Amino acid sequence: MNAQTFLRATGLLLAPLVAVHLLSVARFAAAVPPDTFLAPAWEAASSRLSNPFWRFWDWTAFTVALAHGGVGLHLLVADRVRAPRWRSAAEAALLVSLVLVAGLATYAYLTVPFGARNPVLGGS
Amino acid sequence: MVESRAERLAGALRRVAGLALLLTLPLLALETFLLAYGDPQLYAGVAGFWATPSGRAVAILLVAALSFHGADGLRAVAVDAWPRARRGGLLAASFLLAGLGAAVGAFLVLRPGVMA
Repeated sequence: MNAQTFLRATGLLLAPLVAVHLLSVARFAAAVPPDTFLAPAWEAASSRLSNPFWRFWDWTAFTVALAHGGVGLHLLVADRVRAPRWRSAAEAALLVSLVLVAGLATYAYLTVPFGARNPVLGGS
Repeated sequence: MVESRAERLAGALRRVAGLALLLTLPLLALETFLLAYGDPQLYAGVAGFWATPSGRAVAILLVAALSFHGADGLRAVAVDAWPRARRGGLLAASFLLAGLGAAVGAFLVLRPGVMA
């Protein structure tokens, strides 16, 4: 699979993944003040990730988005950075950054505590 | 078929929007890490930015960038899949979809009751 095909395929996958993620975050955020769309209150955010479904959904969306962006940036570097040394350095920096961010996110999604009360559905 | 000037401009804007979105992913990872770390005050200190007026402005821009990136990406897929489709029509449809997505996003950021 070449880079353009990968971008198209992951882009199509990301459309529903991201749309559902954002609508779900908005629904949970609305349940606990302060209601902020992109960063819900602690209780709302932790209770949302107490649900294994949303945890897996978010991790999948995050990982696919990171891979999509990484390949997109790789193409941009290949297009725009002409000098071989600078291109190698940029590619290496990109790869290291992606691995670090993916590692941090995966660790976080695996270790957010379960069991927070669900402000949307009630109970735990 | 040769790309029109508007299509080239849309493609360049899509790349810029994509770069902006990629740069927000580490922030999302950090916020999730702070949830895992288990300190609500630290989390609120970082995530509280989105509740400020400038945070909400950035959020609206990000959602607009996401909407445009997605809609123009779908246009690019459609152009590849159906080379004989009316490209001007696809471009107009992608702008419409991007505008609709940005409007929904802006409503979610600024919806009644959240600006207190």
